[in-house]
Amino acid sequence: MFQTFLLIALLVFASFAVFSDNIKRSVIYLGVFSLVTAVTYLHYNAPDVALAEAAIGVGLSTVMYLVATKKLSIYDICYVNEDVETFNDQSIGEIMDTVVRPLERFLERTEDFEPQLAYTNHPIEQIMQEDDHDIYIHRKGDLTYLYGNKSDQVFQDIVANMHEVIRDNQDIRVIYIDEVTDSERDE
Amino acid sequence: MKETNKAVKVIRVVFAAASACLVLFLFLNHSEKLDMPLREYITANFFEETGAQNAVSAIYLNYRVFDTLLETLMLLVSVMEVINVSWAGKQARQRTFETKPFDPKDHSEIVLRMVGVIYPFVLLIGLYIIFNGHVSPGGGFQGGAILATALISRYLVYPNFDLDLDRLEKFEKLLFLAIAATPILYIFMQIQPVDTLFSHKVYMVFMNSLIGLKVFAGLSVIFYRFVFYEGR
Repeated sequence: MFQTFLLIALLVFASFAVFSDNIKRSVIYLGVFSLVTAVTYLHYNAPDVALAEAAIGVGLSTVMYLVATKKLSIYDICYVNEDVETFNDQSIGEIMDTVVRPLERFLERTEDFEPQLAYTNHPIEQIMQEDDHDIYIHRKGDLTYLYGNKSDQVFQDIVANMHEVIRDNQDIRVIYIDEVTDSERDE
Repeated sequence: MKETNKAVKVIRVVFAAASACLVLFLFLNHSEKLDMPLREYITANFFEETGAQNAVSAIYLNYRVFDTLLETLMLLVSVMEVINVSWAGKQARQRTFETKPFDPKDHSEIVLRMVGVIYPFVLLIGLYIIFNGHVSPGGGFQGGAILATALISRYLVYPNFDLDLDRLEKFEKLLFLAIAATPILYIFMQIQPVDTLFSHKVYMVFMNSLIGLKVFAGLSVIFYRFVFYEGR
């Protein structure tokens, strides 16, 4: 019984690791897979091999993969919603299906970038001065603004597919930061 | 890709099926049921002969020590290969020496504190597994891997490059020499000061610690080489 459970768990975690959309999640699933493998070895009376599997599979290779994914190309997204008074996990959950997941999927499938999202309700001018993100998604009432650089090819692709990426709001406006600052400099 | 002929495909499938049938036929008809003389020989009185309470240690440090020699050689060669390959690129020089002072605000607070708490325990269990490898499950390789994991988790907290990798690699080569020399003298040539159970145990612990240090050095060199010489 326990043996069947272990073997099925191995299959399940292996498929999770392969079919997961996010690389970091894959790495964690792989670590869990190694842990279950170690328990399986222990179940078959091979404690030496189980120790080696636990040390290499769970410890060493997981840390190594995590460091490697840290060096991967990351696309830095900042989501700004000034209408929210106090920001908590629920307001993240509200946009999870309409913005976050489609955007992540789009970046991973078509651009080979690893998305990274930051949420905030600070004023957008302050954030743009303080931090340097690749794209800003700014919610204000019924309007959605996208801020980005025109020279950024990924941002261009997002703009071309913006109704696929942001699903709950049809009224989207795009502002190219570098164009705006250029025209200001000209004046 | 060139389009393969349909006849060739059919022949391939038929050939694969025929060979599978042949293998199954041979396996089912000619698999002799041997009893296990080797297993009985090894597991009967390994404690008196080798001084190890763990049969696996008895095998890899005494009965089959030749396998261990070539396994350690394999790790050494792979470390050398990693170093050669990562030097083969155009950016042969090291990418960054991070000289800026350590700032705890750059790192995750949770990781920082938890690694600090866990660190001594990880070192302790690594050393325990090495020194107790001839009694309980474990041994040099497992303990060395755990020690290397401890050193690598240090990178997560403090990603500065202050290890002398060349010296670490030379150290590993010297350890390989020692690992090769010890069983050749002790097991093959039987140059033993005293032939007692205690001296066998000392030999076991000594070999396990040599292997543990070597694995630790090798895995650390591989990791730090990947981190600081490869990628962006």
